[in-house]
Amino acid sequence: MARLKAETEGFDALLNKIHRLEGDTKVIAEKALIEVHEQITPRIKEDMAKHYLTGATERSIAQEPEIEWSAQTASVKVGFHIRDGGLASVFLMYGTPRMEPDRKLYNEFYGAAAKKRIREIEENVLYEEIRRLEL
Amino acid sequence: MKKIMDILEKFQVPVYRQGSITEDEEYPDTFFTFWEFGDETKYYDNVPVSREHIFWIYIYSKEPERVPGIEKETEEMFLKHDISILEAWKDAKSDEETHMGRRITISVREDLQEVGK
Repeated sequence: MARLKAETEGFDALLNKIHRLEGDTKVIAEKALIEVHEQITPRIKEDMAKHYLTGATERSIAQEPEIEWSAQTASVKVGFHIRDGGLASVFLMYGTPRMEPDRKLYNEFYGAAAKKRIREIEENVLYEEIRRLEL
Repeated sequence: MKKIMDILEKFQVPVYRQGSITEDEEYPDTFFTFWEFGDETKYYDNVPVSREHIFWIYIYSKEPERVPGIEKETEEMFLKHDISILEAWKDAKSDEETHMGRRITISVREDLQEVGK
């Protein structure tokens, strides 16, 4: 999958606080990742609009967030399923001799601003849950 | 950019900007393309002092036996000229079945001004 991966790693302090407040850290961690998926996926679809020909690549965008757990870290994949027609996304991001790279699409996955955006989305959800639990 | 072009031109194969070959142009047997996809400015005391320009350099070839040698030589020359290799050569998609593609990610530092002056 040409994708980015949002993870809960690095949020230990916030998750520990939620645990101390007797919040369900698993549910809240998954909520944060689902929010990432819901905010980022429309941006990818918007970037793809200018590349529309058959719609195959756009259809390969993961529509539903799939949360995966590995030990104490959850992650969600956002982006294209390569096997379902998403291979063209790789062409688009890196270009070919006949097609310029799509920098905007590349940055949605790998750019520093995208990584920052994802961290902010996750932080906002976790802080919101902490505020709710403290009430 | 000039530093990169000087290195690539030593191989005596065409060099193009990625995406600039038109539909009715045939690919040369072996050629490079390049694309600057990012830059990062470093500051000292709020003053910009240097900028890293990040490039993808691609090689496309219908002579796969030439490619490993070219990869090794370009890496050596990049390093010799203080060009950093961020990601080693890896496969890149080619839109012609006759040609294999490979891509490397490099960065070139541009000094903007001397600190303290």
